Amino acid sequence: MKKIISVKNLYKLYRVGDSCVRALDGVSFDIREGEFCAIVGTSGSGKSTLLNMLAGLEKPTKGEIVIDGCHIEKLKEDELVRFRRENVGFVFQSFHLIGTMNAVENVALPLTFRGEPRKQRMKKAERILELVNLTKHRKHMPNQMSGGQQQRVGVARALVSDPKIIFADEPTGNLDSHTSEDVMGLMQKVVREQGRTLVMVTHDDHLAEYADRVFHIIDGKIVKIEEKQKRKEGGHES
Amino acid sequence: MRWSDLLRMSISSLRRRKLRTFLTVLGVVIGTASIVVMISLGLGLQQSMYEEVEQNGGTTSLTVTGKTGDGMMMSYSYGTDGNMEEESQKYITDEVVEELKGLKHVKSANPVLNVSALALKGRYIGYLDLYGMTPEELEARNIELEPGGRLPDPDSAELELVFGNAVLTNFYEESTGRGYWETGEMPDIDLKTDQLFLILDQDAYYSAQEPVSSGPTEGGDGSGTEVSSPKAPKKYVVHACGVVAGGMEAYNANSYYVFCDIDKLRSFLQKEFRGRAIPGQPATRSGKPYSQFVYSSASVQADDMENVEELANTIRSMGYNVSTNIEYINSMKKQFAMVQGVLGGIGAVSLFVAAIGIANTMMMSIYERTKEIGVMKVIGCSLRNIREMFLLEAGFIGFMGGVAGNILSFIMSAVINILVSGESMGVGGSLSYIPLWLVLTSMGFAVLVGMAAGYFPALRAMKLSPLAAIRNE
Ligand SMILES: Nc1ncnc2c1ncn2[C@@H]1O[C@H](COP(=O)(O)OP(=O)(O)OP(=O)(O)O)[C@@H](O)[C@H]1O
Ligand SMILES: [Mg+2]
Repeated sequence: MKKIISVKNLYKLYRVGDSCVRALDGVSFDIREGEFCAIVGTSGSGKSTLLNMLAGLEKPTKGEIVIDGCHIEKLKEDELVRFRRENVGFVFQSFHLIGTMNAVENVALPLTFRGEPRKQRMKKAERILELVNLTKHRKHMPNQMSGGQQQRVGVARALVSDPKIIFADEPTGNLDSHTSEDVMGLMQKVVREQGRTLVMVTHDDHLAEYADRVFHIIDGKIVKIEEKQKRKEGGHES
Repeated sequence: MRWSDLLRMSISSLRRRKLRTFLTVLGVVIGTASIVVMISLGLGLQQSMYEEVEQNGGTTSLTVTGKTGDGMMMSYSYGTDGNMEEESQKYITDEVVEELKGLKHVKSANPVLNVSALALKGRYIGYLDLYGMTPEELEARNIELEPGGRLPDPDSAELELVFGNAVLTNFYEESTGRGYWETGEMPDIDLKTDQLFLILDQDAYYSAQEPVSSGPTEGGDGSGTEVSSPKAPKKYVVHACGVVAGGMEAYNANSYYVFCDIDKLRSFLQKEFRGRAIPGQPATRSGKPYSQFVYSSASVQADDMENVEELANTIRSMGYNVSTNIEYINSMKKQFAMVQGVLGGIGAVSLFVAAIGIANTMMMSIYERTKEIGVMKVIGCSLRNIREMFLLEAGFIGFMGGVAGNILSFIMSAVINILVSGESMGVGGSLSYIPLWLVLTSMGFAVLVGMAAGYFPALRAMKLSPLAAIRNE
């Protein structure tokens, strides 16, 4: 199976005053295409830092990140933006929908940035909203929706531009456990059906059960990579 | 991103904060309006100056007058003979006019003959400033006549006159010596229909009058003068073929003049003063008339305003006096440039203040939307698009301010013109004048100012770290 993400010897140091925080301390791993990976660890272990670096939001201190044959750490900011626009979808912990736009418009936003004509992107957005069961709420503004609904809009927004990879930083962090299960189930289903790669950060071991592989990270080091064989097989059979 | 989407997003974010947008736009409105109104005042002044110049012969006309070697020279040059004297003096004769016509850049050259005359009508007597001009010249003066009037016909047997609309103010009652300026009443004469008696030989008229008025007091002397006085001058019956439009009150460049055909006037003069020197005509020292008929001046039209200066110098080097409007216009232009600079500067200050307002608003808007901007960057909005979005927003504020400011300017300009035209008479045209180019440039300027003010905030938005934006809660 093709490697889509390949990380080698990744270091991230933060200098705070005199002391130096090693947020990432020599991380190396590969993620295969179509995989659902979870990054699990305690608070402050460096999960978000890793994910942000994979998404090109932060520059590593040392090491290399190759995504789809492209060295992310060498790209300039506007190239990174283009890279994200074309290859990456993002799901945020606190949803981050645009408050002045309704659900469809929010979902269509990445397509707007790609310069797609309005009619076409609205059609696509409606289709994705149908996928996340929000057709009824498509004209709702973010403040007229529940947290779970908002996050489903967030997932739809991450999916609408057909990205190869989806990053999610604690997508269920602001949701109760029942809604979390809903959203996780939805993400797992969509990723499996559409064959996308999903990298998700969570500190909840239970939610990590949905993933094919789980990276355990402690103090900036990956200590264990857990394969959930049966789920993965099940996913590929379907 | 498409332009339509950029525009939509910019407008929607402006609409989100209606009051704040309104206040910012208001600043631009005031700034634009003050610039436009200030400059329009300067332009109005300039416009009315040009109109005045146009009435006085326009920018391309030159008035050429002869040079009479000054009096001192003449009195001391007793050793010279008549020939020399004639050469040292330059007169405008038919030959000279022909010569002027032959010069480069000359469109037309026409002689002008200016004499003063008396007019009698009933109990009134009036002075006429009589201008004899060629038909082409009269045509070129663009005199606006009252309906029914026409220019003098050169082939008519009579001396046809065109009266200036204010000529009657120079008439007074012969018995009392009181005229319009004393009594405030217009003489009871209708120039359009009434016939007048024209007296070309004023000296003769007065010397013929003298004994009548001074007779009773100084009997002996009076009778003596009466004997020696020349016979009373001929009175020519004349009537108007036209009156300058505008009525008694309105002033224009032709108000106090009386125009007639130059050849007619010349032949009348020559008839009247047969064998004597015509007043205003130069005479040789012996008192004999000059060999050729001499005109008061020649009116020359240059082909272009740019060539007026050159032409004037050429004619001066030929030995004639030349007066043009160009020096006047040039000095006025300089003054107006200064006035406009000052007025425009005052306006520019208020637009500058408005620009600070725009920058402030944009800054606020960016702080408010830090998270939004960060999210957009994370999900793939290019840096250029973000910058454009904010520039467009700022430019749009400028544009709205520019449009509203221009509307306000037109209203203010109209109000100023109404107020001023109510107060002052005499000043033709309007005080505030807004040409199309001013509308367009001020609008463009407002947009530019908006964009300039929004430039640094837009750069700032562009540089916002997406990470910082999405991390904080
Ligand atoms: N900008 C920064 N400056 C200094 N130190 C930082 C910065 N960002 C992160 N860190 C440090 O790096 C370490 C890893 O932080 P990170 O946000 O990756 O943790 P996390 O695993 O996501 O925790 P959580 O589960 O609470 O979100 C922490 O110790 C944090 O203090
Ligand atoms: Mg985190």
